[in-house]
Amino acid sequence: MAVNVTINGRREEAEAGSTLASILEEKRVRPEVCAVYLNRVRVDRDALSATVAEDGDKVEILIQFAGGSDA
Amino acid sequence: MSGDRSGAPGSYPYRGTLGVPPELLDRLVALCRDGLPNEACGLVAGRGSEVLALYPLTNLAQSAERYGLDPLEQLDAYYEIVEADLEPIGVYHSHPATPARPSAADIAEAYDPEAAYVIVSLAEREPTVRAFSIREGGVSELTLVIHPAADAATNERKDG
Repeated sequence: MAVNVTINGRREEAEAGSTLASILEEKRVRPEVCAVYLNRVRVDRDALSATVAEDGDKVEILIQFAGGSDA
Repeated sequence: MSGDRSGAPGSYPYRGTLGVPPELLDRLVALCRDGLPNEACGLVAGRGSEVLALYPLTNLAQSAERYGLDPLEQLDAYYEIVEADLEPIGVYHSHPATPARPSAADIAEAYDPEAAYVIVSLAEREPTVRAFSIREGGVSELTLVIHPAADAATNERKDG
């Protein structure tokens, strides 16, 4: 059984019962370098493991982008 | 400018190749020049592997050797991308004085394994644009294919 979740504008299937933490893990994104919004509400990092993605949910995973040029 | 100005839009495997309309490539270089002396940065969006829009964002580092996207602007841009029926493809930034290849900092701070990292070098008179995938410290270059936009209506998002 799968649910349809829109992640960063892309419709994806997730296993029913998937948490936001498991979605991050599947995408190999570390929670400490991102902010996660569920239906436009920010989800605390502590709550990612307890928050289940429901069918039709919209998730934004905001990953830190930074870097620089070598001198 | 680097890149092969041939090929047809919409036929590239996701990630291995990025299709870019020439107008958008020119705009990307112009945005990076506008950011001088500092590095410029922003998001790249489109459909599949086709780049159709640029979202210039503030470089919070305000530096010629560092960049960091403003997270609040980044979030707003994500919502704009979704509302425009596009997908985030990756991020661009400039190297004002060094080549268009990922620096040690670029690699160390590349946290998104799905993103395309587009780098514009302004070190030489002729700018160079290259794109990379960076995953767990490993860098692989993406082929940039420059061709007319399949959907010209979406290739200019805003002037600034």
